[in-house]
Amino acid sequence: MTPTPFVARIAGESERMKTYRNSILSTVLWIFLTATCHAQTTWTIINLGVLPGGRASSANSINNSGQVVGRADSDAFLWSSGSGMQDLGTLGGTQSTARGINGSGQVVGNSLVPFPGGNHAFLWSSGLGMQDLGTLAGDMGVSDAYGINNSGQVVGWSSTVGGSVQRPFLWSSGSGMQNLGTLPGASDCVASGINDSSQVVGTCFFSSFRHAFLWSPGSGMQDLGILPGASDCQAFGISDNGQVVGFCLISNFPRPFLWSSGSGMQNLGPLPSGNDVLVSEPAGINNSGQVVGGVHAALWSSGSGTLDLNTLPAVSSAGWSLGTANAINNAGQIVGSGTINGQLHAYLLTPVNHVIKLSRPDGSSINDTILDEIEPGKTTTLIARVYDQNNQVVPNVDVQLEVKVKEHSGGHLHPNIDTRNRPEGYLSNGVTAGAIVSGNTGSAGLLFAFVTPDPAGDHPITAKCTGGKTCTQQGPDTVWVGIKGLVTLSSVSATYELVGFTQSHPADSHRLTPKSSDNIGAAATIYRSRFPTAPILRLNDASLERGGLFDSSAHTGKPWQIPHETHRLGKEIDVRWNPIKWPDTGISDNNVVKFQKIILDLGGVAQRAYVGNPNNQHLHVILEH
Amino acid sequence: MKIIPIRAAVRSRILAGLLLTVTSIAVYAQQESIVLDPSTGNFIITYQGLDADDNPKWQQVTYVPPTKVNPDVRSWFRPSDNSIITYSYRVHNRRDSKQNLEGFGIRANDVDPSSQTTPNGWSGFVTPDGASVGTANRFIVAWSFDSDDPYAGLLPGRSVDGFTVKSSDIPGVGNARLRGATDSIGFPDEGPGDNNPVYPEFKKVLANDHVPRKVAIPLIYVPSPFDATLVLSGIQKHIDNSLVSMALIDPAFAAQLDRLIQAAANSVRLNNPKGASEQIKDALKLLRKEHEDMDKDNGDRDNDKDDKGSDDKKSKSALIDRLAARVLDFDLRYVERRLKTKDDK
Repeated sequence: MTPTPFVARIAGESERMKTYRNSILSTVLWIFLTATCHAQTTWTIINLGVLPGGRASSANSINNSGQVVGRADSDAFLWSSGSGMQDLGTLGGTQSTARGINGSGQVVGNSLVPFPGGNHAFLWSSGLGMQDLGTLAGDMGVSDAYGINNSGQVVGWSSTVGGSVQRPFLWSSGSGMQNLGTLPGASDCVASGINDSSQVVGTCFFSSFRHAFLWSPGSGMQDLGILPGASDCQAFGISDNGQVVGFCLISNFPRPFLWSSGSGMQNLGPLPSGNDVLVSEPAGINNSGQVVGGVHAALWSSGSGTLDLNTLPAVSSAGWSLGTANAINNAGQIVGSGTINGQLHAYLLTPVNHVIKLSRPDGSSINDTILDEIEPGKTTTLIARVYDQNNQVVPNVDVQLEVKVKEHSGGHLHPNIDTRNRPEGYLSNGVTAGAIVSGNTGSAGLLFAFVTPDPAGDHPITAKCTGGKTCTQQGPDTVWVGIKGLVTLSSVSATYELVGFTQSHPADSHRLTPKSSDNIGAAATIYRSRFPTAPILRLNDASLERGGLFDSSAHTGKPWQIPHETHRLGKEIDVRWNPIKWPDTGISDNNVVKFQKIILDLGGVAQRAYVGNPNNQHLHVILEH
Repeated sequence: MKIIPIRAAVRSRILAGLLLTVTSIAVYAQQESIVLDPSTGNFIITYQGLDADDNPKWQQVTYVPPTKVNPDVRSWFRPSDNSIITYSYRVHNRRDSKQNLEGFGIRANDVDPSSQTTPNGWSGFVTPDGASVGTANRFIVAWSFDSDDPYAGLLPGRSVDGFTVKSSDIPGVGNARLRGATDSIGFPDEGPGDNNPVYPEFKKVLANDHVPRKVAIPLIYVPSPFDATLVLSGIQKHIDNSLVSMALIDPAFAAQLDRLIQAAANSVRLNNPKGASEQIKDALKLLRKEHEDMDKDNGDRDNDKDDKGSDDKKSKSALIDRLAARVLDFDLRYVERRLKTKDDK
């Protein structure tokens, strides 16, 4: 996981950090007033304690298994829920700090080596214990390790020969410590994070400013640039998705940023009046893009905004005052340090993520996406259940359900952009009905019905917990509305030609059941064989892509016109018969009776529609009953 | 003077009553409905439709169903060689029919599309029935009166011969579909939509747009090379699934036949064709006991002068319909004959 390096703590940088840190602290009061927009997920907090005889601890990193590393008094520690806090020892010196841990439980950090040596980067594993990674300057140099990925590659910085400059390094068991170099013109650089793609982030120091960098195995070191108006930027963490977090100074105020290769450097907040300090020092990021940091522990995510972790009931009721949030894993667990009972202790915050899932009443669904498949106009019964992290049903949760329709689905442009009056169906919980319904899950879940509309379409149903609870929707969420198994008439035929309009529909309008498709094909062939010199059949609208109500609003210019009301099931098609309007391309009056007999022989009916109407007259053919 | 107010009151009541009546009639007239006129046999459909400008308008159309015929169909089936059977039909439009007869068709198993023959003045076709929906080897065999005049057809009291088709499959009893000649239904607009209350009933009426008659149809699959057990199994299924459900055979009699056919199939499986023949002969005896005058000649045209399909008047003692008996007699004799052929299994 991404470690929690604070470059400002590197020797020679602390004064500049103090400048804006004071500014940060001045706005803490405002923080409490504004940090309420984040979802109120239920949390638990664990005091990670201290080493035997110790007094203080601080957690710096956490892996996806929930193992935590940090420093307790003077020694690096490793904490796990099963074993508690373990002293990792030192490289022979008097103190050590653990800064990063990977999924295999390998830990990196720094440790003093025996006098007169300084800090050396270390790699600790349960089998080998603490291993000195050395420095780029030999035994007398200094180094520090900040991050380790799941391949065991370690990043940090090291002094070089002469001892006056810092260089970022990438260490691996096969290649040892590799100097990653600097950005052009930089005097020093440090690496602070690495992901599983071996991408490294860090900061380079110039004479009067800093720039964040991204180093990749193929392309080397890249300057990530700066936010508009910024003078100085640093990068601290990188996710496996390649998202980088850090901050820039703008008028001496820290501005947190999120960088990605697609979007470049983006300001994380609206930044009014310099009050965006909650994540002013982003320290860690997970693969969901959640960011933690700040001198005042905070969590930021794109969907929920900023959350002051001190406002969580679990935190305040336990008497915690959280100071830092240094790392977050992919499960959303956060580690850092805070004060409890007057002592600085490491903590582990865990979100109790309730999940809301939809299914058919027996718990089944069509697949991972589709809840049910149903014909237009029919009703399907579904159920909403809330589960805890152990996949147990949580009873008596207030939930809200909302049905919508995907804009381009079922052969329609849902909703009609001009009129927005295309029916979208509705939900019903037996008491109320509408696009949105609410209810309580009781002991077994909330049963509700989805009354589908007449047009076909994909209908996602969003579900959320209400009444102060939050939960994440998981699992299939879409009801597929349409007629299954419709096939498209071939557009290439010697016995017919497809005509008709499709302006109001993104897909074709010649869908039929296989049997009806066979029947109209046979009719066209027989008709052609009997009337080889007559025009071939012109087949007009049948059914839309997935059947359902066939409207034509875009065609007529009127809202929600439904001239093909019966063309829902893929069993009916219009055939051109209009000697006035289409004298050369339709069935003639002389042949129409024989064509109708062919349809009757095939088991269908060819009705005359709009008889005598020169614009609309045609044959409406029912191909199967 | 006292009368005047009374008269006024009565007049008022009468006027009010008249107004109510007119209103009621108006409301009643605008109800969507599909009504069978018993005097004509036509259906009057009233529905809320559209005018020429697509504005709502009450519409009323008359549907004349093509079912005002009372036809007879006679069917013959004879093997033209060892494996191909010719099916022939004669259609008669009875005198009491109200329409000329213009359509005749069957749904059959495997037939030879090129073998269809058609009487003069008629046209016909053979086409696969739902080949793409997993029911291959089903065919629509249809004939219709070849005229542009929707009312033209076989006149009442007349018969027409010459409807034939060939198949390698042996006969079963199924429904032929016959139609009277009438103009198709026409609407001033799209017709009643499927949200319209009359639509479901209208669809039912349309789905019954023919008169069914029981005829011999190639329905029982004969594999090549010949497999007697498979054919006997097909005969059993036809008896159990079709003849019983069509009430053409007494269920107890059907069970008797079933046992004998099953025994014959078992004998074939045991490579005992002689035993199979004996059991088939027993089954044939049962059939002939019910219809003694049934043609015993299995060679030429199986002319059954009294056979009229489902309209047969079965004698009270007959446990099986005459057409059904003829069909089974043919089928069992066909199997017996094929069993005797050296090259067959």
